Amino acid sequence: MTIGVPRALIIALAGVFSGYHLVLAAYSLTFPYASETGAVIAGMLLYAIVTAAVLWPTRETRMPVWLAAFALGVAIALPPLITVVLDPMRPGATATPPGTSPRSARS
Amino acid sequence: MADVARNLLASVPRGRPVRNPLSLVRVTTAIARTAAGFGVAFMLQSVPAMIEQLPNMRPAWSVTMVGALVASLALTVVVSVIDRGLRIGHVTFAVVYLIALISWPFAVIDPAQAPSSSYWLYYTLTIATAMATVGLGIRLATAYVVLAPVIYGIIRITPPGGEVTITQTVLDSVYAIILGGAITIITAILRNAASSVDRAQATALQRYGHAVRQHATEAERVQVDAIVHDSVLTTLLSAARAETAEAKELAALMAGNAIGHLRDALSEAPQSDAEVSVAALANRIADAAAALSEPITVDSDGVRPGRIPVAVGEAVYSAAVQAMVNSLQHAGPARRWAVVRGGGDDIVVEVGDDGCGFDPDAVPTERLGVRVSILERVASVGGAAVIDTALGEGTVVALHWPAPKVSKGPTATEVTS
Repeated sequence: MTIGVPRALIIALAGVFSGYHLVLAAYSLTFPYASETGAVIAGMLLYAIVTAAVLWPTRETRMPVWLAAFALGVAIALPPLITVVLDPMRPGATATPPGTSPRSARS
Repeated sequence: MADVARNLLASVPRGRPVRNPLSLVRVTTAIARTAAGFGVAFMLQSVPAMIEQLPNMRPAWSVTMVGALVASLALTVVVSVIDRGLRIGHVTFAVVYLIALISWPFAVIDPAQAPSSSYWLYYTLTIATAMATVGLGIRLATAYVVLAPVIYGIIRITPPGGEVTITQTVLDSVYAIILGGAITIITAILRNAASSVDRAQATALQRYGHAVRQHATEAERVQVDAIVHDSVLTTLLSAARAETAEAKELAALMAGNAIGHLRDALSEAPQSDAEVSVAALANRIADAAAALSEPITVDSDGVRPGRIPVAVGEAVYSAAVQAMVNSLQHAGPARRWAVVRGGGDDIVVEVGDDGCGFDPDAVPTERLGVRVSILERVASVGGAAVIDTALGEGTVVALHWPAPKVSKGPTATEVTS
């Protein structure tokens, strides 16, 4: 007998989780946080491409090392690249909660 | 080949809890430790927000709630390290968190100064849902995973919660639900996989034990065959031809030897390391008792967890069944009962009735029923059978394993002699 985990469910979970960050990113574009909107959109595209490449259901169950290295590299490079176009003086900029919450329009 | 695989799958018990779920325990411990570790990290991460936002909360609330959260988080760390009371520790944190969340809007001093950025409790929201997943069943945990972020979102819309926009609060709550849901689903998947491993392992052990017993029975049969052929047949041939007194004496001697060989073959019970749980033995006896022409209920409330050698289990089982059958055949109409109690190092099976009873001394030696099938069977594995009976007084057969060291009452041998 084979004991395993449902692969489709795991991939779907990862897809939803990763995709939701793109939703959050799109929402943040409605506020004037970034000086260069194009840079943020480029970052979102790169993130989407890496997500799709990593989660693409291939026959092989194990991720190739080069793909994992590429994804890790993008994950490390993205935050500093985006930080460049953000305003460091924005109040509360350092207190962004884990992964989310652009400040509300009220502030 | 496919049929074989299907048969194997079909015979693997599904969904049944295993007595010793080693993999499941390990997985649960690992998840609990992870939750506690991340809990500490996220709590530390919320400290800057706490410092910023707590001055706007009533001091009594701040002290109580922060104190309770830190204390229950410490409790989860302790229980997951010592691996005891995992559920209690983690559920405590989840409950304390829920209380803090619900009481939060009532403790705000000035709603106008409510933070527009995330409230400090938001940092540990995912941790609370993870703790609930560790400690609660899948339904309650799912309810918690949805409920806690929704409560957070509703409070955020109100003035004490910061009066943020609906879009903002929905994004926050959905994020927490997605994250918490992912944790819950992954936890459930891992637990299921671990349970499957445990079940497969238990089934494999069971089959192995069965194979060992079958092999032993086969070996015993071959041995008995050989003895029957070598000594019994020869003895019978000699006896048939014995005309003189010497020849008859010789034949009698050979017959005695043959009986001795056969007895040795029986007492040399094949050794095996296989064990069976006392509870399983009680179940087998209860199943057999229920299948009798006049079913007997077996009281196994006194069974403690423990394991006994398979040979002992077999002997006690057969003797108990024989005692019940004897009672049905000989005791006449009566109230009958059977009790199994004890654990792996002292098991007692009692079969009794208040029927007509019998006089043990009056049973002729040739009648093998009681002597071989009950007394000797139990004695051969190091146990003892005590038969307490008299004419008109009913019969109680008590099977003890191992044999009591200081036996005051009549033991198996005393009754038979």
